[in-house]
Formats: sequence, structure tokens, C-alpha cells
Amino acid sequence: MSTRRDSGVVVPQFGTRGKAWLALLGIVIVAGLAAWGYQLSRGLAVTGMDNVFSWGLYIMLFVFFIGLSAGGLIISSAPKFFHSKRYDSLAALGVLVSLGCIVVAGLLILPDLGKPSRVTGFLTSPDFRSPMVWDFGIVLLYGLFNVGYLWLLTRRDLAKMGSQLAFGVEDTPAGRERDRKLAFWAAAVAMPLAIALHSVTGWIFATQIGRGDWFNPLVAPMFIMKALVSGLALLLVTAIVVDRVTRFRMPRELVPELGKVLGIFVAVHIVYLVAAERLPHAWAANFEFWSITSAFLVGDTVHFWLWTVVGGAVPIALLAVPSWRRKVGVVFAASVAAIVGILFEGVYLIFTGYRDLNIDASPGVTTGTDYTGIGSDVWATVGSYTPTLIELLVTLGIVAVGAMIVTLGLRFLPVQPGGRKPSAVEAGETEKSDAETPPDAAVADGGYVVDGTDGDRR
Amino acid sequence: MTNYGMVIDLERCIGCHACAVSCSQENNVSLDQQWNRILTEGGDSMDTPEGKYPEDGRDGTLSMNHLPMACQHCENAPCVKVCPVNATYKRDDGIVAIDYDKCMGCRYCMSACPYNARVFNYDEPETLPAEGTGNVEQREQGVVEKCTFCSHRVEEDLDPACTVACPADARIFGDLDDEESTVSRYINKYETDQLLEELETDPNTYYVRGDMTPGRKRHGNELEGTEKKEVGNPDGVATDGGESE
Amino acid sequence: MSKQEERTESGVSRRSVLLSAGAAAGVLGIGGKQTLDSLTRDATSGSVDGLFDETQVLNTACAPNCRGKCPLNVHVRDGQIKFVEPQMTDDEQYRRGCLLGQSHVQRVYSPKRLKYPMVRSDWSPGDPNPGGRGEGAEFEQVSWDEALDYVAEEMLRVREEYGPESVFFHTGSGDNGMGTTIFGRLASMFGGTQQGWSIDSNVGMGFNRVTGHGYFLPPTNESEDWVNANTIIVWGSDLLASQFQNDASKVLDAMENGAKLVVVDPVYTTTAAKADLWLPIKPGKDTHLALAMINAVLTEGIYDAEFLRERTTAGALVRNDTEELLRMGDIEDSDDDRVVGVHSETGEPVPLEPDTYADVELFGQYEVDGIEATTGLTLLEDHVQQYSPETVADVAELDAEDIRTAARWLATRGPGGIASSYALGRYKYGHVFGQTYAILLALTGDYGKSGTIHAQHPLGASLSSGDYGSPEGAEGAQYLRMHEVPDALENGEPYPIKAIYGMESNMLVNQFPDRQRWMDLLENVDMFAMADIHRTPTVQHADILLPAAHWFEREDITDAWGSHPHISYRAKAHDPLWDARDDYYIINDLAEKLGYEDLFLDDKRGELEKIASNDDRFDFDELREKGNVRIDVDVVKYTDPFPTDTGRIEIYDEDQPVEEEGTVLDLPRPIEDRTAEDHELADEYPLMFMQKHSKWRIHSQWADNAMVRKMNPEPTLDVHPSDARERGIDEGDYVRVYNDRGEVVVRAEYNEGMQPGLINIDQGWWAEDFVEGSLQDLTHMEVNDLAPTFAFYDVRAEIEPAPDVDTSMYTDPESADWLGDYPSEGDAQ
Ligand SMILES: Nc1nc2c(c(=O)[nH]1)N[C@H]1C(S)=C(S)[C@@H](COP(=O)(O)OP(=O)(O)OC[C@H]3O[C@@H](n4cnc5c(=O)[nH]c(N)nc54)[C@H](O)[C@@H]3O)O[C@H]1N2
Ligand SMILES: Nc1nc2c(c(=O)[nH]1)N[C@H]1C(S)=C(S)[C@@H](COP(=O)(O)OP(=O)(O)OC[C@H]3O[C@@H](n4cnc5c(=O)[nH]c(N)nc54)[C@H](O)[C@@H]3O)O[C@H]1N2
Ligand code: SF4
Ligand code: SF4
Ligand code: SF4
Ligand code: SF4
Ligand code: SF4
Ligand SMILES: [Mo]
Repeated sequence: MSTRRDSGVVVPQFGTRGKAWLALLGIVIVAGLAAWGYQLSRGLAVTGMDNVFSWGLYIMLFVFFIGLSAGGLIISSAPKFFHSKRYDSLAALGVLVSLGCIVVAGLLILPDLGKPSRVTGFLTSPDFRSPMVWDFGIVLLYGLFNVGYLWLLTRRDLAKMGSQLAFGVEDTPAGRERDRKLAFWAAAVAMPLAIALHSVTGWIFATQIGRGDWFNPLVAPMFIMKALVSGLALLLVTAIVVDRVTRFRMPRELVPELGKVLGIFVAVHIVYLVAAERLPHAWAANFEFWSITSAFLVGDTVHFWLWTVVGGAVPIALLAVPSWRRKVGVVFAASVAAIVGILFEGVYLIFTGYRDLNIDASPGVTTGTDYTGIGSDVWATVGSYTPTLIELLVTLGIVAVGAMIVTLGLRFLPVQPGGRKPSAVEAGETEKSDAETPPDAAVADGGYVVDGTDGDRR
Repeated sequence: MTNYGMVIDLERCIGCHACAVSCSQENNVSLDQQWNRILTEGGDSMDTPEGKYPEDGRDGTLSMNHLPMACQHCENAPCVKVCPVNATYKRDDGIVAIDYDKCMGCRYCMSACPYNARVFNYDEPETLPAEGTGNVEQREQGVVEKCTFCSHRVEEDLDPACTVACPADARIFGDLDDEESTVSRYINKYETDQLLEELETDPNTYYVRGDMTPGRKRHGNELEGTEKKEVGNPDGVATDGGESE
Repeated sequence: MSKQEERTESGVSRRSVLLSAGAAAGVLGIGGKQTLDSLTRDATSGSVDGLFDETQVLNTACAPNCRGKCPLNVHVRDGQIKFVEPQMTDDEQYRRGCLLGQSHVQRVYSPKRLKYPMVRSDWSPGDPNPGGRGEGAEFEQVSWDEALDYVAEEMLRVREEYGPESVFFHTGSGDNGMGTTIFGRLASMFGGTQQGWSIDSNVGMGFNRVTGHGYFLPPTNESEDWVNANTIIVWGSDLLASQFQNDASKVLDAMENGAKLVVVDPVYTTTAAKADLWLPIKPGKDTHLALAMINAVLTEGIYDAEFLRERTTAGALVRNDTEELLRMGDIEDSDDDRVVGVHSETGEPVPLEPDTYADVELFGQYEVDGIEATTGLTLLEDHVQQYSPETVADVAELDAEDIRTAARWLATRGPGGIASSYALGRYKYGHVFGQTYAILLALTGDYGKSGTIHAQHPLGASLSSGDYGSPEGAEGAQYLRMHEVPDALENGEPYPIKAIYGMESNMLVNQFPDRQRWMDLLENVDMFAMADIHRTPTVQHADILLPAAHWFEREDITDAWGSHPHISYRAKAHDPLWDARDDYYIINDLAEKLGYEDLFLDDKRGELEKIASNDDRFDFDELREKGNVRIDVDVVKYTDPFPTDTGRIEIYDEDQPVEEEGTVLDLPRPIEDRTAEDHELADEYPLMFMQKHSKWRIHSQWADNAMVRKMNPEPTLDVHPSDARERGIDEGDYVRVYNDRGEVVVRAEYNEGMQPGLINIDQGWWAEDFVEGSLQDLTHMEVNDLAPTFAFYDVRAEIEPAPDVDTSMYTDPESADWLGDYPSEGDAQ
């Protein structure tokens, strides 16, 4: 036992709360499976998608989770690449979160398919012109890489605590040294891989000539930026929550530091890239200086406000003031806001592609879902979409799988290098941060993933 | 080589939907889908014009046109390029086809198609009679489908169903690679455009605008190039049924 | 059955029909398939396989009362009808078919087919309980024998009590096969009442007063000749929607060949959208406009003097004293009744022979043998002074220069004409327009030439059945015109009607105007039997329901009146579904029960052969073999002397007929009913309400068609946005359309092309398709004196939002479980 703790396993044993949490995840997963079963038997007719709006929640969240998966990996590998030990304490946790997210992303593809059994076509008759084939490859690679990297980061500790997961590796100082070097090379691979992942995912959209804003060379850079923002934010949220509910201790000084980095990412993303994207449109569509300016600064959709205010202005404001960003609660809130913003941006992206038809003359196109008999209207000239309960359940189930992966990782992997450190929370803010933790303890209780997605969707 | 294409004369088209209906029937298309749609370029609803009703008794500003739309069989077909599993492909005869046994229903092609030409079987296809209509098998639930240029007919040397059905003789089907074919001669002689030309998909479907053509006289069902083929002749007036040459 | 043997009844195999092109039929039949060798990759796995090898192709024909009568090919596989496409016509330039013909698959398998013979539960002979009829009526399934026993017994009883004419053998326009011919034979034998028309007969009867031609729209050149027209004035017809089988193409051919298309229509229709000149006329002002065009032609001197001298009475003198035409007999004291003109050189009176050029003065006042007389043309010229283009432009809200342009094009561009419509006859005094444009076309010389046009549809070929309809020993049928039937039902004038057997009609409760009144009138009837393919509103209103076979479920012959010069054959694709039966066998059984054992053969083919034998222009066996045969008809009409007293077009009508309003019609004088601005209903009901013929249905047929309803899901009110907004009606709102007779609730659709002040609901919708009421609850039965015709469009109405109605049938439709609910093969017959 003590070896375990020393070697950095932060959940040596599931307590009541832990078991309840696992049970909850299990129930959500089973519900998701049941919903998927129902969807399989009835077809995608039970989703809210139609011929006009042909990608919905599954793909929206696929894109989102691809983005989320970036942060951990980049944060854990970037310092390593510069031979810095700076974020070592977060490295394993970061990779674990990345892994959970990439698994969620990969799984989200399946329920989106009309014929899931034919997914093997990716292997048996791939068309290498298709960005989705590139994406499929890279998601697979990325997932495997995450597994390997995670193992690399933890195998000596695993060996130390005698876990079978060490697969025979021994804990020797020389071995640790070798792993440090290996980690450098892995980090060297990790960053381009992450960048490729986001670019390729971006290109799935950016190559679509007929879909409004999608056909835009900025999409891939934007995806990378979104990944940095949401990935880092998720890592922060996770670390803070895990710090609270497990023995994991996040170094106190990292909170303002990473908060600052997040602030910069958000600023670059929202202020620069989004502006760079909006300005030409506003400029081209308006004549007067003030109308250009206002079209550029003031959005007319709820999405615009959600992502610029909730996902942009709020986090930037919270993180800009040095004294604020030293408060864990503030960083936590800013991170959540940033995640929400990115989620909405992803959702909005899909909407911009499907709302208007290139040729929208009446009667439009058949929705493909509406023929109920004589007198039913099957036509649409604009896209509209509301996810159904089935889609929500399936999605939640898959997200729960990701949460399960992280939870089990915390239980079986030594994610805390060098054992216990003083808690960020314990270091001084207990009282205050309590107030900032979501009142729903059951959810806050490690339910970061649920929080980060479900919470937004309301 | 053969490169099939279609010319639709928008000056002749009367928006009658015969081609649309015939397409659904022949191709066993579910009642909640439509491969071939007749759009009204005009007001907000079908068969209404845009503009203002004249107040001075003159023609005024009203205008209305019908635009039949189905898969354009693009040369540079985005749907083909995105299909991850090669289910959508461009045949050597120019037809963009779908292998329904390979399609995994990812609908990537649907978002790639700028013309919204593709439909997905969200539901079990429903036809009346339930056993299906026309001369091809019904596609399964969960796959994407669209106009095939009636490849099953073309392979039997028959014109597509919509072409045979058009009472205004507004649709002509043939080989774009054959300089002598009616489609080629129409494209050379008349002002034609391709839809969303700026997207560079280079459709094999061309629309005549501005100048009425003699149309394709519906003398037979056979594809041009097979025995006893008579089609409209852009070089002659309609009186001779376009049979000169 | 091997594929070789899988031949159609007419002996034509699948491939040969699919590939047939006239003479080439059959040649390409075997081994024609060439695989596309270029399709290497995926050629097998990916390509769609056609099912042609298992498909049988039969010849049949679609023939409701549109002007199509299209020969069609039906593809049958596994005992089911799968596909329909236009059949090659004997004369290839007439190949035709529309979206409706190509949607018969869904018609045959419609959930609204009438399936079993049924009797209204609360009806019994002697106790008809007519109050129980209508939407809520319930029916019990009975055997055919039982159903027809009831019908026969009631017919015999009524004949006994009231006389044979009290049995109404009612037919509509549902099908153009031999059904009504066969039915007519029984009616004539029985001595029952048959129905004459009071629909579509207005304009033609006015035209008839001038030319001797026309009852329905007058004859016009066959459509193969339309390409030669130089000016086509489509007057009150959206012919690209009501003539949209291949005749549409003929109009387009003419345009491609250089013709000018003028469209006179208050609505910007598909046809108007194609026009070179559109005249957005006020409803009811068409006679004014035609008079203005006459004015323009005469003022500008662009009339066809040669034609007027050869074929009209333009130069014939009209006595100033008696206002009658001067006859040779008047000056010679003989009984020579030839009319007289003044020779331009000699100044002598000369007789005008039919179709003979006479060099007579066209204008002027003359004294002949002491009799003061004026030429007809001068009378006309004087008369039209009051209808200058400027004056009429004001009245009809048109532009005077456009009126002149239309007149000039017609007069100076060579042969052309006026494709006049039935819509103008749906205004009470439409016959005056018929009179007017007949004269206008005479001035421009547009008769009897290639390229001349007189109606929106050609004459086509009618089968002549000789004396088949009046068999030996027949009593002979009585005829009542439609507008006379109400009096017979209500007051027994000229005699009562007590029993009705109807077929091929949805008139009584759906297509006739003033529906509520008809439903009331029908209460006077003891037995009301309806044979129909579908369970229409009229069927639902009957006592005895007789399910009829669809056209494709029986053998038949159709001709093509009003359409094209062919006779077509119908082969049977499969047995009638459920317990439906071919009308022929129903009528045959009924005849036997009525005691006419030998009136019909037991074998329909034999009967068809018997009917066909009366027409020597085609051979029945050849017809069966080929599917359709071209009939030799005159392509160009009006080449013979006109069947008038003078053998000429009579510009001046010496009969001086007087319309009810007291207007004398020696020369055309516009008369208006509800379109008049000062009509008594104008304040309360400011909108004119018409019910156009739409491309989505032929009258009420196809209203239940799943394929068509996909495109045209529900009835709508076409309204100009200004009229709607004024009344607080938004696009898509449900509105109440009402007048002094009734109301209907439909969804409003903004249409900039509608003339402000004019609203439309397409006709043909079944009452049950409306959220509330029916469009026929607003129409009326008032008719004119001279050419009595129902004036469907001469109706005023008002509209208002209807926010409180239950619209769930369209806004929240329940999923239909009927898809697939039918037997795949017939079980009757
Ligand atoms: N698709 C289809 N085709 C049909 C039929 C059908 O039901 N459906 N029915 C068939 C039969 S039986 C008939 S009788 C014919 C009828 O067909 P048409 O003769 O074409 O007549 P309508 O459809 O009554 O009216 C046609 C046009 O008249 C216009 N109109 C209305 N009032 C006036 C007016 O006061 N002056 C002028 N100048 N124009 C006016 C209307 O706007 C409309 O566009 O169609 C036949 N063809
Ligand atoms: N308000 C308004 N009303 C109108 C008009 C209008 O413009 N406005 N137009 C009028 C005109 S022009 C006309 S011609 C009339 C047409 O009025 P109808 O002649 O009643 O027209 P359809 O709707 O064609 O009805 C024919 C019926 O015959 C049935 N039928 C078809 N084939 C067969 C068969 O083989 N056997 C049997 N037993 N039944 C068969 C069909 O199912 C259908 O129910 O409508 C008129 N009504
Ligand atoms: S129209 Fe659409 S579906 Fe057809 S080839 Fe072009 S992109 Fe593909
Ligand atoms: S839906 Fe089918 S055809 Fe379309 S891209 Fe996916 S696999 Fe290819
Ligand atoms: S070519 Fe065939 S599949 Fe394509 S629109 Fe025409 S009928 Fe339909
Ligand atoms: S069938 Fe011909 S005229 Fe009718 S909508 Fe189609 S293309 Fe146009
Ligand atoms: S409805 Fe009339 S035009 Fe259409 S196919 Fe039938 S007969 Fe021909
Ligand atoms: Mo009619």
C-alpha cells in the first residue's frame, strides 16, 4: 500500500464516494449503450439530423473532444522537449486526460454512422484523398501514442510499486534516466502529432467548398488554437478537481502560471484569430466605417455572444488580474468558461455550415425524415437541428467512458510523480474555494467531464 | 471515352415535375426523399414570382423560372474526394456513382456536396407499393443515395427516366466527349452555365439560359449513339423535329 | 414462365417496348445490351442493376378529362405495377405524358381506393333515410350480387312509380375509355336520364354564333401545326399547367421558331412567365380587351381584307330598317337568301357565296334598290369606337400601347391566333368573349391556315361508336343539362329524379358549384349508387358503393378528344385489387338484373371489338398490337365553308340575341356579373375568388396521390401580400375564405404574381382535404340565358385570419400506417 502511495497512485482505493461515482458512470454507459441499441434498430431517424443538417451532436462533440485531447499532451510534452521539469507534476495526468478525450472522440464516430459495421472500410478500401481517412489514421495513431506515452511516463513508478502494468520493466536509476531521454523524443513526436490531429480535423471542414464559413484556410489554425485553449482549460479543471477529491496534489504555483498561459491562449484565439476571421467579412459586407466596426465587434447571434463573452471576455478578464488568477476558484471558473466558449464555437461552426443552402430556392430539399403520409411536408430551405434524447444519451454514455478511463487511470496509474506534495487547495484557500466549487457535490466530485459538457448544453 | 452529361434548357422547362416524379418512380426512391427536385427561382414558395405586381398594367418586375436540380455529376466531385471508403466514385463514363454495399453512412459526402444533391436514408425507405417501384432495388436504411444518371438504364442503352419523361423536351442526355452528340453541340452553340461554377466542381450538367433550343424530340427511349436516335438539332429549327443532318 | 414467353397481351416483349421507336420496335429486342467495358473498377460491385429482365411492359392509356389522353407504358413485375412512362405514339411527334400519368403507381395502390361493395348501414329499399348520408355515414360490406340487386330493384321500382326518366344515369368526366359509351347503351335501353353539360360550354357557344363551330372550345389545328404560328395569344389559360403534356412543347417550339407569345391573365403564371408580352387584365374585362384589339386593327387598317371578302360577312349589307342582313331575295323578289355586298368596281349588289372571293366594299353605307344598308364591318367599326385601347386600358387596368402591340402582332406577323380558355367561360357571360374573339380572328384572317390557333387545346380524335349507344328496342335516354338537374331533384321539373347510378364522376358532392345545395337536393333521392375507383366525397355521400377497377386493371379503348389524333388501347396489368371490378362487368350484371340479358357480351374484348367496328379509321387488332394508332384527321381546321347560314363567318348577328340583362348581342357587348365594380356584393366581398386548374390534379383525381401530395401537400389560398397584410394575415396563416353562401379554411400563401383583389384556391381538392368547409361552399349555380354554364370564377369573397381552427391534420400530422396496406395481387373478378 505504502509503495503505491509513494509511487504516486492518487486513489489507492475507491471509497464510498468513489464507488458511487463508478456506479454512476456505469449507469450512464449502460444507458448510452441502450440508446445506441435503440438507434441501431430504428436508424438515424431517431436523431435530430436530416438531409439538410446531416451532422449533429456526435460530430460537434467529436470535434470538441479532439480539441480537448490536445491540452494535456502539449502541456506535458512541451517542457520535456525543452528539457524542463516544469510541469512534470501534471504530465501523467495530462496524458491520461488526453487519452480519455481521444477515446471519447473516436467512439463518437460510431453512432454517427448509418452502417457502423462498415467502419472497417477505413482499412479495406480507404480513399486517401479523404481528409476523414487522414483523420481516422491520426486519431488511431494519437490514441496509441497516448497509451505508449502514458506508460513511458509511469512505467518506472509502476515497476516500483510492483504493478503488473510495468510489463517487466524495472525501476532503476539508469532506467529512469533512459526514460527521461525517451520522453524527450516522445515529446518531439507528440507536438507535431497533436498539431496534425487538429489540422486534419480542421481540414475535414476547411475543404468543404459548399458550406459557408467552413471553406476557410483559417479553420485549421483556429482548431489548433481552440485545442490549446480547451485542452489547457480542461487540464486545469481536471487537476483542480482531482486535487480536491483525491490525494493528487497540484503544485500551488502552477495555478497562476497556467492561468496566465490560458489567458494568453484565449486572447490569441478570441481577440486575434476570431477577429482576423471576422474582419474581412464585416469589411466586405459593410460600407461605412462604423457599420464595419460594429458588424465586426457586435455579433447578431447568441452563439457569438456565448463565445466572445463567456468564452473570451470573461476568462480573459478573470485571468488578466494577477491577484485573481492566484485564486484557484477563479482559475477554475475561467477555465470552465473557456471550455464552454469553445464548445459553443464548435456547435456554431456546424450551424454555419448547414443553416443556409447554396441553392435555397423553394421548395428546397427533402429532409428525408418527415414523410408521415398524404399531406405531410417533406421540404426544407433552411437547416435546423435539435438533438434528440437518444443522441444525448448516447453521447453521455461515450463521455462517461472517457471519465471511466480517467478514473481508472487515477486508481491504477501513478500519476503523481514523486508522491505527495502540498495541495494547492490546502495551501491556503480552503474556505474560499469551497464557495467556488459547484454546489452539487456529487457532480463536482470528479465529475469534471460531465460538468464540462453537459453543463454547457443546457 | 465516354463522358455522360446532361443539358437542361431552362427556357423550355415549364416546372411540371414530370422528370422529378419519373425519377422517384424509376429509381425506387423513398417517399420522404427526392433526388430530382424542381425549384422555383422566384418568390418564397413554389411557383411564385419575385418582384412586384405591376401597377401600371405593364409587365412590371415579376420574374419566375424553374430550375430542375439533381446530382450534377461533377468532374471535380467533392463528394468523391471526401468519401473515406471509396463508396462514392467517379465511373469512367463520367457518372458519379455510389456503391451501396460499401457506404457506411458517414454523410461526409452530404456536407461536401454544394448542391444538396444527396439524401440519406435516416428511416427505412417507404414506397407505395411497399415492395418498391421502378426498375432498381431499394437502398437500405443507413446509406446515402442520389441521382445515378439512371446508370442502369444507360447501360441498357436507354435514356434516363427523367429525360424520357420531360413533356417540354427540355432535357438532353448524351456523351460530352463526342463532339457530335446533341449535348456537346448544345453546349457549343448555346449559352449554358453550370451551377455554382465558382466552386470549380465542373458539373457535367449544363443549363441553357436566355435562348430557347429546339429541345430533344422524344422519338425514342434509346440513348443517343445507339441505333435510330433522333434528337433535337441545335443547327436546325424545330419544325423538322430536329432531325436534319 | 420463361423470359421468352413473358410477353404482353399485345404480344410485345419487354425490351422491344423499352427500346422501341416506331419502326424499330422489336429489332433491337434481343442481345442489344452492351456492357460498358470502361467500367473496370467497381463495375460489378458498385453499379446499380436494372430489373428489366424480370419486367413486363404493357400498353395502356391515361385519360381523365385533361387534354392529354396519353398512351402510356406500364411496367409490371411480381404482379405489381412498378413504373409508368410515355408510350411511343404511332405518330412520334405526339409522345406525351405528365407527372400525373407517371404517378399512377401510387393511384392504383392508394389507401383511399374503394375496396368492397358496401351499403350504407341506415339505408334500405323503401326506407332510404337520406339524412344519414354524408361524412359520418357508415357502411356495411355486401356481396356484389346483393349490392347490384338493391340497385336493380330500386331502378325498377322507380321506373314503375315515376317513369324511366326518373332514374339518373349520371356520368362525369372521370375517364375517357369506353365506360360511358357502354353505360349509355344501358341508359338508352332503360330510357333513363343522362346528363348534358353546363360546364366549359360558355366561350364555345359564343364562338359558335359567329362561326358555326364550338360548344366546348372550338376546334383548333392539331398541335403538330402549332410550330407554324407566328403569334400565340394565350387568353385566360395557364396552358403550361393545364396543357402540359407534349402540347406545351409545341408552344415552345413555336416560340423557338420565332413566334411571339402573348398571355392575357390577371395572374403571373408559369405561362405568363414565358411570355413576350403579358397583359395583366382585370377579371371579367376580356371582352373589353378583345373589342379594343378590334378597334386597333380597324383603326390601323391592318385587317386581312382578302380573307374578309372571301370567308366572312364583313362586306354583307345590313338593312338599316330591319337590322337584318340584306338578301338577294330582297332586291330580286325571289327566295334567294344569299346575303349581298356591293361590288367595289361596279357598285352593283353581288351575292356572297361560301368560301368564294367577292370583290365587295368592306365599309360604307349604300342604297341598294332603295334599301338603305350598311356593311357589317362598318357597323362593327362604329360599335368599337367606344372601346379604344385608351378607354379599355383604363377599365381593364392595362397599358394602351400593349393592347396595340398585341393587336399588331396578331394582325401583321402572319398566321397565328388566340388560344382561348375555359376560364373565361367560368364568368357568367363568357359567351360574349367567344363571339368577340371569333370576330377578331376573322379580321386578322386567322382561320383555315397552317399556324392559326383558336383554342388552348386541339381537337384530337374521337372514336365514333355509331349506333352502339342506341341498341334495337331502346327507349332512348332523356337529357338534362347539369344546370337543369337541381330543378328536377327539387321540384320534379320537368320530371322527378328518384334514383341515381353515378360513375366516373365526383361532381355531385365535390366538383359542382354550391355543394351544400347539392347535398340538400340529394335528399330527394331514394337510391344513390356510385361506382368509383376511390372513396371520394361523392362516394362517401352515396347509399351504395361500387368499387371500380383502375384503368390499368382492365382492358379498354380510349380515344383522344381534345388532345391528339390517336386511339389507344388499354391492356390489363393485373386483376382489380380487393373486390373491385371493371365497370363493364358491373354494368353487364346490372343489365341482366334489369332484364336485359343480351345487351352485352360476357366477354369484354368482344364488346370492345363490337364498338370499334363502328369506326373504320382503325382496326381493333392493329390497335391491340401497336398500343395506339394515328387517326387521319384534318390537321388544319376551318378549311371548309363555315356551318353558318351564309357559309361564312358572321360578323354581324342578325338574330340579335338578347341576354338576360337586356343586352342585344348583334355585335359583341360586354356584360358583367360579379366582376362589375358596382356589383351589389362588391362592398361586402371585395375580392374575386377563382379556383384554377392545377398541375397537381386533374380535377379531383390524384388528390389522394402520395407522390403528388409530397409536392403539393395541402390546399392553399394564393393571395397578393397587400391583400393579406391589409387583413392581418401572415404568410402561412390559416385563413377563413367566406361569402354569403359558405366558407372554407386554408393556409395562406403570399404570391406577388396574384393580382391584388383576386384570390385563388386550386380546384379539385376533396372536401376532406380542407381544414374546414370546401371551396365549393362558396361557388354558385347562377347561369346565363344564351349559353348556360356554371360560372365558377364569377364569385366574390372576403378573407380573415382563422386563428382558432384545429389545423393538426397538416401542422401535426400523424404517421400513416397505411403504407403497404394492400394485397399485392387482386382477388376479384
Ligand atoms: N393539370 C390539369 N390540366 C387540366 C385540368 C386539370 O384539372 N388539371 N382540367 C382540364 C379541363 S376539364 C379544363 S376545362 C381545362 C381548363 O384549363 P384552362 O382553360 O387553362 O382554364 P383555368 O385553369 O380555369 O384558368 C386558366 C387561367 O385563367 C386565368 N383567369 C382567371 N380569370 C380570368 C379572367 O377574367 N380573364 C383572363 N384573361 N384570365 C383569367 C387564371 O388566372 C388562370 O391562370 O384544363 C384541362 N386541363
Ligand atoms: N370550383 C370549381 N369547380 C370545378 C371547376 C372549376 O374550375 N372550379 N372545373 C369544372 C370542370 S371544367 C370540370 S370538367 C369538372 C370535372 O368534374 P368531374 O368529372 O367530377 O372530375 P373528376 O375529378 O375527374 O372526377 C372523376 C371521378 O371519376 C372517377 N373515375 C375515373 N375513372 C373511372 C372509371 O373508369 N370508372 C369509374 N367508375 N370511376 C372513374 C375518379 O376516381 C373521380 O372520382 O369539374 C368542374 N368543377
Ligand atoms: S452534385 Fe454533389 S453529389 Fe453530385 S457529383 Fe457533384 S458533389 Fe457529388
Ligand atoms: S456516406 Fe457513404 S458515400 Fe457518403 S462519404 Fe460516407 S461512406 Fe462515402
Ligand atoms: S438521370 Fe435518372 S436518377 Fe438522375 S434525375 Fe434523371 S431520372 Fe433521376
Ligand atoms: S419534366 Fe421537363 S419541363 Fe417538367 S420540370 Fe422537368 S425539366 Fe422542366
Ligand atoms: S393526366 Fe392527362 S396529361 Fe397527364 S398523363 Fe394523364 S392523360 Fe396525360
Ligand atoms: Mo372542364
